[in-house]
Parts: sequence; structure tokens; C-alpha cells
Amino acid sequence: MKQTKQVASSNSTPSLQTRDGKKLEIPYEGSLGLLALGDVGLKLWREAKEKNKPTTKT
Amino acid sequence: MRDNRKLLVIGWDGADWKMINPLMDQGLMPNLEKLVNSGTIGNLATLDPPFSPMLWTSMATGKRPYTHGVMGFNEPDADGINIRPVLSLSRKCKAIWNILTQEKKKTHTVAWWPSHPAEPINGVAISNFYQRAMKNTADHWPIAPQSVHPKHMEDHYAKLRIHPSELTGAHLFPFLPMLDKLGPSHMKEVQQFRHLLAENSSLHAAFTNIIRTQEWEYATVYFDGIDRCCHEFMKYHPPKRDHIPQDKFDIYKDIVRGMYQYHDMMLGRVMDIAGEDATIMLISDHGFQSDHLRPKNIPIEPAGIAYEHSQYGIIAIKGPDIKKDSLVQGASILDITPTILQLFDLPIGQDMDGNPLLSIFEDPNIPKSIETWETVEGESGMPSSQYEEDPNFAEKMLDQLADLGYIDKPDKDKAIAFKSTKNFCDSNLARAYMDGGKILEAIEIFERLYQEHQKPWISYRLAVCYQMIGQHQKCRALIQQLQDGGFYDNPVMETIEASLLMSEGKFLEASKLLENIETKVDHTYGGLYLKVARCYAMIKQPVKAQKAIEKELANNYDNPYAHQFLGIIRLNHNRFKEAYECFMEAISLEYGMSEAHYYLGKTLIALGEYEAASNALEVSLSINPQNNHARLILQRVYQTHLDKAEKADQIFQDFNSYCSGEITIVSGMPRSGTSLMMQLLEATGVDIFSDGERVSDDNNPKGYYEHEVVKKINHNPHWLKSCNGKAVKIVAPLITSLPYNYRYKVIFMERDPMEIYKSQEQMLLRLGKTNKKQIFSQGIFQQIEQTIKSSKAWLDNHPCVDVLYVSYNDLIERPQDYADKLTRFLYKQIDLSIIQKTIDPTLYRERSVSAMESS
Repeated sequence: MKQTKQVASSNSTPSLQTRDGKKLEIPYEGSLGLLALGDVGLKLWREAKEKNKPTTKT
Repeated sequence: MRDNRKLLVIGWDGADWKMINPLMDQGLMPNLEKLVNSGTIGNLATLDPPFSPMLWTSMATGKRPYTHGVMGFNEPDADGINIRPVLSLSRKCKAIWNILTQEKKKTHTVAWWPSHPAEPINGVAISNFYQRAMKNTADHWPIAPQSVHPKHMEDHYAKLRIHPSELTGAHLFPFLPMLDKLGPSHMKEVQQFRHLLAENSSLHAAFTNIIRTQEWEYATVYFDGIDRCCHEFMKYHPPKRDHIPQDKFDIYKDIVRGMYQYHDMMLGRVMDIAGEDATIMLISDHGFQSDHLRPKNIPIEPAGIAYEHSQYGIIAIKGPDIKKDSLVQGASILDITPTILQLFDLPIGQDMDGNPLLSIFEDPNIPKSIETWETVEGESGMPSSQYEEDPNFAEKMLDQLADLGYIDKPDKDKAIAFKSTKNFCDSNLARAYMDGGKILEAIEIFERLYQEHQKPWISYRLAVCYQMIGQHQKCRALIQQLQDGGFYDNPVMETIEASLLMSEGKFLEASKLLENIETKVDHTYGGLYLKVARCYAMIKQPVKAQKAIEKELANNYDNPYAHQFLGIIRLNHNRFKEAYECFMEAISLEYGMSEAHYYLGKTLIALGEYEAASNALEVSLSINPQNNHARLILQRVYQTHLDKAEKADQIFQDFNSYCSGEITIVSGMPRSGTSLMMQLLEATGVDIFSDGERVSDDNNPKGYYEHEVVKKINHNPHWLKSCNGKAVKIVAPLITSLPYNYRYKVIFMERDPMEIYKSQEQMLLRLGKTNKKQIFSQGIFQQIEQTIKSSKAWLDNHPCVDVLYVSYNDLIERPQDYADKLTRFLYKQIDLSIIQKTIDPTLYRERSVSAMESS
């Protein structure tokens, strides 16, 4: 259960970095750490999920 | 006190230091560790019944359930037909968020139990129906109507909910490392866990959004994750117990630990957002057994799962003006709302049952007070009575409560479901009365419920109530009824009977019964050995008493009464330092035990620590002002050891105001004329307290004037309230057991000790208890002299005793001397003629040589 920290304000696009400053890629399957980040983590996870959705041919 | 206070209150249902401490020691809860190290922590005593909606409402109101009105998980609807889950509408008084709304504070609440419909407070309110997924799918998951205030934010918060089906293995693996190997037989457990993880994460998302995006001065959130997780999976938490299957243990052993860690992660996020200047209070409503005290079986009674709870929840608070690395003692869940009011420097309602925890503050303001907040005008955001209930939703919620084990599945017959819900709420009301010391109110409800249906859990509590107010005959009759009805043969009822036997002074019988119970129960059966120890102590078997109490502590080290009892044993054996440790341990577990402070005071006196002793006795008196014995000791400490004469005088002045009546006592050694004096008082019209059981005989041809209960004064002095305004005979060896909360007029009969000795010997001969004249026993003679001496010393030093010493010999020889003395002493005209008529000089049979010479 790796600790992460959300550093952006509510008005800017949130970015995620670990406590030692490294950028963290958002896994589309989510993580407990993202849930623990609350609304921001949830939004990031759902965005990642959305991007990972297979596109449907019409 | 800061006027720009920002306070976050976070509720973790069922969180317990016993689980938390080892996790913090291993570095697995770093955020809580930070909170603990930078603030004040302590135990938070729960209430009975320990049902979450009742407890959390007590937290939010500072009031007991019989005042706030929330009586369980569900309740009868006002329509007299249906039942519904408890709602914010069930609450009959203002919650802290209503008071703060009135005070124009920006106030937000998330999911307090119960809080549906959401209340129109000065901020965002999210109800406890908001996160419930129930049987919906992620694609079709309408938000429960009225679960968000203000309504225009409903969509915004609806999107922050996480449906259980959204969770992936990545979320579940940290709790269930063997998830991918689990077959369908584990589906139910995994689904339940998935639900609770999703629901609690939804609440966290909503709460973090509120405190990130809204202005706030007070924000609160409630999580039920730990409690639900513990009810389902604590049985699998290490160490493994013999009855737990190995395969299930391997699968589920990490869940509870993981849930605590997850809560710590959520806490860390909230602390980050709140910033260093915020005050953060973390609380739980009760603890949860996590060790060898975990019950193997859950009793069959409504909400029986609450037997898994333990008595103490947690409190941890940090922030500006809050003491760092400190411990708060004696906190109760009733103290939360008064403490929040104190944090905002607002007055505390005199109608609240709790008190502000002043010891958490570096420099506390003097608390302000208000008669009640209920009549304070202004928009408080109390729930609207215009709530339109969605019957389908209510039904689904009830189903979910049943799935969680909080309630029985509601009967399909609405009338039966209504009746059983009403009875459950009524029995909870009665339990709340019991817990609040309102025993008569509790008895009234329990008697009615018992008439309707003789459920064991009703009868047990009714029996305990009878005992608590000394109605032993009713208790005995109830036990008899249960025996006749075949309900008796179980340890709970037998334990109640053992307590009854103890109240009746039958300690040997009680100890035998308790030993028998010991063979039927396991070590989780609470308090059994403490009772055994009490019995042994009363029948003067201190070694057995000590062994029993050590057994109790080995089973449950957190039993404060066991520590206190061990302390008393050690105090009686002059092991003062060890006694001190015991009383300190008891107090640290349960600060509100006035007796523990009292004994601590006595111990500190023995150790020569007079200042500390005076503090302990002051605390004891602040908790129980009726304890005049503590007052007497304190007065002497101030007078003799601390040279505080003014304080001593002040204490002494309080003494009389805590005496609840006046009793005339006739005392002296047996065969010193006590029966004669009782006879004389009766002849002059004084009411006599006597049961007439001991009939007149050759030794006392005119009667004994005794009462059987007097012999039990050592362990049960409650009967003294029946003696108010009357005269009662209490022989000298028992006189020092008189409690300190009455005024006594003692007529102490004196007689030559040698005459007493001879008269007692003659009496035994007449009774046939000895058949020959014994050789003179110097030991017995000295004992008579010593008892007279110590009784007189006690009487002379007792602050609420007036004593008149009457010489038996003089009374016989010169009754005229006593007519005036008795008249003045009793404030009652005692005519000489009556004395003369009462006295029969022929009964003065054992005259000493000196008495014969003087006559």
C-alpha cells in the first residue's frame, strides 16, 4: 500500500506524484492508493479507465 | 482559545487501540501515528446498548438515547403499520451541526448514522443513504432522494460514488492476496467486502471533495468500514483459534489489518488537505474484541453481534491549543459534543449528559453554559418534516441492515414486523435507562415486555434491575418463574442468581454456583472471576480471592473493576506501592470510577503522599459527592497533614448536607443492656426497626428487638434507608460499618466487661451451646474490652454521630438520672415513670463484685 500525495489545487488539472517527487502513472485498473486520495484519485482513475476503453468501430 | 478554529471530526466505527497500537508499532499506520504523537489520545467509554445509530447520535448530541430518541437500527413508522430504518427525523434534539449552523459556522457532514434525509445545514450534508449500492448496477444507480443538501449538488456528489462492481483486483488484492484462487463458495464474503470497500471509498471521495472545494469551519465524516469488516472477518484475524478452519484463516486473515491500514491512508489524505492549522479529532463509538476475548458464539438475541464489541472506543485529537503527546482519561462518547462546543468557545447545554474534555487543552477557557440549545431561536437546519419516504428504498435499506446482521430479516407479516421492531426499540430504551441509572423507568418497560413475551434477554435484564435497587424478593421470584419455565439452565441466569446470593450475603453458596458456571463457559465470559473473587473475599479466603482476580485479569486485562479489586486486596495487606499501581491502572481504564480514586487517596495517605491523596479524594468526591467517607478522610488530610484549616472547615460544612436522614442507633456489646434500651425507646413511642424474627427467651424475656439484615451491614447497608427516623439495634462489633451518609444518634450501652463476659457465658449455657462452665478465657475477655474501646474511638471521631453513653448499671440503679439525659439527647420527652416501668431489676443477673458493692 504505497503512499502517494496529490499536490495540485482543485482548480488546476491534478497531477500525481509520490512523496519523493516521482511522477506516477495512473493504472487503468485503479489502486487502493488512488481510492485513498479521495475525489482526486477517483477522477484520475476514471479518466485512465476511459482512455483505456477499446474504441468501437462504426 | 482560537476564534478561527477549523475542526474535522472523523468517525471510525468500531476502531480499537488494541488493534491500532501494534500496527503503529510496526509502522503500518504512519498517519495515525503522526496524529497520536502530535496530540492527545485516550479511551472513549461507550454506552449500553452498544448499537451504532444510538451511539453516534449520542456523540453528535451529548445526550443519552432516552433524550435524543434514536433507539436502534430501525423503528416503527408513525403510520402505525410500517417499519423504517432510523432517520435524521428520529432525532428529537439538535445535533452539533445544527448548533454550529445556528452559530453561522460553515458546517458539513457526511454519512453520520442516522442522517437521512440530509439536513439543510449551513454547508453540504450527505446522508447515510448516499453511498448504499444495494442491488443496483453501476450503470443504473440512482441516488437516494434527499441524500444530498443542497439539492443542486446532488448530481455532483452522485458522481463521486463508487459502485462495488467498479472495484478491480487491484483494489481487493491488498486485503485478499488469494483472491484469484477463490471459488464460488467465497462469493458471499468477497461481495460483502467489495460493498463495504466501495461504500467507504465513496464517503471518502465526497468528504475530500468537500474539504478541498468548500469553505469549512466544521466538517465531519463517518466510516463504518472497520466495524463491518470486523463483524465479518475478525474471527479470521491472527492469532488463529482452534475452531477456525485453516483454509478460511489463510484466505481472510489479512482483511482486518488491511482495513485499518486503508483507513490510515484515507486519514493521511484528509490531514494533508486540512493542513497543519486544522484541529483533527478521530473517534470511535466502541471497540472490538480482537484477541482471545473474541466470542466463539453470538447470543441469539436481536443485534446479538454487538457482543463482539468492547467497552472502549478511541479518541485522538491534535491541533492548535491541544496538548501534545498527552493522554486524556475518563472520556465518554457523551463528551464529544460538549468538547466540540468548547473548541469553538460556545456554551455547553446543561441538558447535555456529557462534559467538555478540558484536560486536552493547553490552556482551557472556563466553559460557558446555557440551559439548553433546544430553545435557541434561529435557522439550525434541523431535518424537514416534509420528508417523503420512498417505501422501496426503505425496504432495500432494511434488507441491507438484515444482511449486515444488525437486525433480523423483517417478517413478511407487517403487523408482526411492526410489533417486533417496537419491542426491540422499547427494550433498547429500557437498556438506555438502565445505563443512565434510571432503574425504575427501565423496570417499568422491561416488566411490560416480559409480560408480553418471556424472552431470555428481557428477563435477564429485568432481574439485574431488581437487584440494582435491592428488590431481591422480586428477583428471586423471577428466577423461580424462569426455572419453572425451563429457561434457567444457562450461565447468564446462573450468574444473576449468584449475584443475588451475594446481595443476600450468601457468599459460600454464591461461590459454589460461580465455580459451577466456570465449568460451563469459556474465558470470554466476562467478569465471572471477579465475582468469584468477591465471594472469596467476603468469606475471608484472601488467597483464593487473589487467585480468582488474577485469573480475571489474565482473561481481560482491561477490566478496571478487577484492577480496583486487586488494589483493595493489596491495600488490605499493606502492599501500598502495588495497590497504587492497581488503582492507577483502573483509573486509566475507567476514569469515572469514584471508588478507585477514593482507594487511591487512601493508598497515597499510607505512602505519605498527602497532596496527591487530597487530589485523588477531591476527584472521587467530584464524581460521587455522596461519599461522605471520602469527605471525612479529605477533611483530615487538609487539617492534619496539609495545614489547610480553611479547606478542612469547608469540607466539614459539606458533610451534613450529604447526610440523607437521621437514625437512632442503640449499640453496645451483646449483654450490655441494648435490648433493654430498645424496649425503653419503644415504650416512649419511638419507631423501632425490627423484624421480630428472634423471639424472646430466658436470656431476653422481653425480646431482642433485632433485625436480620443488620448482620449484613458490612456488604449491604442499603436497608438503612428504611430506618430513617427510627431506632435500630446494632451491636458494637458492627457499629464501625455504618456508612457516612446519615446522621446518627447513638445510645451506647456500657457495662462492666467482666459482667458482659459472664452474661454471655450464661447465655450460651441457657441456649445449650455449651454444657459446662468454661475456664475463664483471657483472650475472649480482652476481645470484649478491645471491641468496646475501638467502637468508642470510632464513635467519638465520627463527624455525624451524637453519642450518649449509658451505664447499664446506673440505669438500673438510678433511672432518674437518665430521664433528663435521654430527653435532651433524643429531643423527645422521656418520662421517668416509663423508664421505671420498663426496667426489671430482677433481670440484672450477672453482677460483678464492684457492682454488688456499689449497690
